[in-house]
Amino acid sequence: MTDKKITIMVLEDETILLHAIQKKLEFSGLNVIPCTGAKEALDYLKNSEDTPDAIWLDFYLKEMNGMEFVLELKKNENWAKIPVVVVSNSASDQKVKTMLALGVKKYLLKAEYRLDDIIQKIVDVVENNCLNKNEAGC
Amino acid sequence: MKSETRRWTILIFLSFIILGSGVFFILYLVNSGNSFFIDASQIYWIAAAIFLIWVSIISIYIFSSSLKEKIILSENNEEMFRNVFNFNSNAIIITDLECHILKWNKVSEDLFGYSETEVVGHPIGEFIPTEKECNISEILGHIWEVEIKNKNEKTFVAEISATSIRLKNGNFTSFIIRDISERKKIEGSLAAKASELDNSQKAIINVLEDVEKEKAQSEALLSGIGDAVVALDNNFNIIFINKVFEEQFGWNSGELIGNNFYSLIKAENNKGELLGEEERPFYLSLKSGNKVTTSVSNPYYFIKKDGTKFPAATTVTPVKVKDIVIGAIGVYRDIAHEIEVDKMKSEFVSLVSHQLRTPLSAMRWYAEMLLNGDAGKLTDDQTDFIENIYKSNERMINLVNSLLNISRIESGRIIIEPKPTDLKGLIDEVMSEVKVKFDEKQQTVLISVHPDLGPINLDPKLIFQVYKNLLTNANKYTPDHGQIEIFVSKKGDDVVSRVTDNGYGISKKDQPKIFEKFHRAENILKLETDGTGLGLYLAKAIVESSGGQIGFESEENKGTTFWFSLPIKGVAPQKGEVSLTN
Repeated sequence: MTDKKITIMVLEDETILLHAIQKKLEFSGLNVIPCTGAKEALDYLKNSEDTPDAIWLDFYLKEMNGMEFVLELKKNENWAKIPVVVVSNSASDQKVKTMLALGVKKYLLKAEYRLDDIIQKIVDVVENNCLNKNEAGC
Repeated sequence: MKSETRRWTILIFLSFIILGSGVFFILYLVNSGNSFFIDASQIYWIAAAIFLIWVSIISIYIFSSSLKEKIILSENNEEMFRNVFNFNSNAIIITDLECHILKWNKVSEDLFGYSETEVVGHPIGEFIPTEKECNISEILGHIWEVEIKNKNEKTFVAEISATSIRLKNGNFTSFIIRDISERKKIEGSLAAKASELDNSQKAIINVLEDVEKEKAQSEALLSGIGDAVVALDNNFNIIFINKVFEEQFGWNSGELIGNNFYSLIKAENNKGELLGEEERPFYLSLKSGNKVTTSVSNPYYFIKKDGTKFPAATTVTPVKVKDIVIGAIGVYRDIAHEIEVDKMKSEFVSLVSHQLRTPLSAMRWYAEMLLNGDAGKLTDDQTDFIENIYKSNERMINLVNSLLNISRIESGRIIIEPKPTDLKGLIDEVMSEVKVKFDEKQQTVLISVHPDLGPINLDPKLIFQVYKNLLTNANKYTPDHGQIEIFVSKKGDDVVSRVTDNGYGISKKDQPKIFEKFHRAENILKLETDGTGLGLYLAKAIVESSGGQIGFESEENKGTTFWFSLPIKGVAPQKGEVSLTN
């Protein structure tokens, strides 16, 4: 493990929630890339050299929904490697199955978890990912 | 006749002899000459004498023979009379005008038991009970019936008629008595049968009237039903429709009755695909002999005569006579409005899902961060206040979740996905979530699951909720240091789970309402205001959708046991659209 802070890209269209998430992540010592929409997120990815360590994805976004976003991610081989954790307000079995099948690491229901729990889960995902990949910079 | 000819023969013979002898005598006298010297006038005297002699002898003969006849006749008559008198089938009693018995025939002897000698001279009233005085004029010409007890104590019913007899030696009264006991018996049973028939006839008329009335009622009912009704025979020919059917489908009865249902009434599914006959409810019902329904969530769209469509909830019930399906009746309810309402409901549900939960999540997370000290250390009061905010928020989240679940269950849109589930494992999962609550109140929890219980096909997410609700209730409504037991066993075809506590119990007053939405029992409201009153309603809905039953036993201040059963053979899957939230 390095000293480099873990960077999480958060896609959440509700600003009030995005703000809380951002704050908490920062309090927990993580870097945050807040995005209110898919377009914003994709733009950032295109323009940045670094990829975030994980993506916190809300399902219902403004321009496209979570599933479409993940499909977009897959188009780029770098982006496809980023572990995605879906944190959403609603979760029908159907949605969960589909997302997990697409490679999403976890699907969490906002209402069921405390914020610090969610963050812990994401950190776990990142660390697992690192361990699996054994990449430089982990 | 023979005696007549005999008589005439004898008469002629006698006449011949006498007259012949006379003629010969005269001839002799005439021929014998003078020895007797008879002149012509003396011959006439002799002829006359001979003639007289002839007449006398003939008369004597006639008289005596007719006398003899008369005697024979009279003897015959008497015998005839005696026979008639005695061997008549009726009892005949001859009395004088004061009703004293003079003659009493054999049949009377048999009937009354007394011989003639015993009764002669006695008034007839001794043997025949009669209110009438021996008033001949009253008695004559009447027939009356009376019950008589004879010498041998045997009773019989007699019909008595009296006539008067006028003879040379006086006036008499003749009583003819008939034993009509048999006749009476037959009359009695005939009367009974007649009255039975009369009653049967009346009953039949009543039934007919009732049937007429019912028929009229049924017709009124049928025409009053707001839904379309059609009846088909088992060849799918239309035999009956009501007015609403005509209006709704756009055909008139003339075009429908007698024709094949499917040739006229087409239907589509909600994707717009035309349905084949084998998918139609009437076909399925007549084939299986069972009731078939379509629902609001899966409506069929029926095509009217003019080509427009409307969604209908269908119920088709087969009509059986002695277990043989002879036809079916279908009822169609236009559910366009219901579908609209349902659409609004699902939109509402998703609205609630998203719109309500976002601020709830936000509040929760901010409160969390504050309590965590992420924004700085809090004073004790600040901590206290924010904890309260957090708790209230929790309650709201629970309420919203419960409401959403209820709405989903009520609309029948819940997905039930049964998988083989180990109940012990499921209970352990629930416990891991709620254990902290039991620890807080220092309550002990004992779990006992039947060892031979294999995995049961059920939807673990749903049954998880049921256990969670029952356990959180047990925890909430039992004081500190209480004891809770979970007991899962087999009972016949079901697996029964029981959650028992020794807590506050449910009062008799609250027991009937315990499964109602939002109901919270009086005794616990005072102690624990937290609670939506929806947990049991939800548990019941889940258990019943899974083909099971739920119930409880409770005594106030002693404790409560909630139990629910699920079929061992498993829960039927249900295709739905949504799942419950935790």
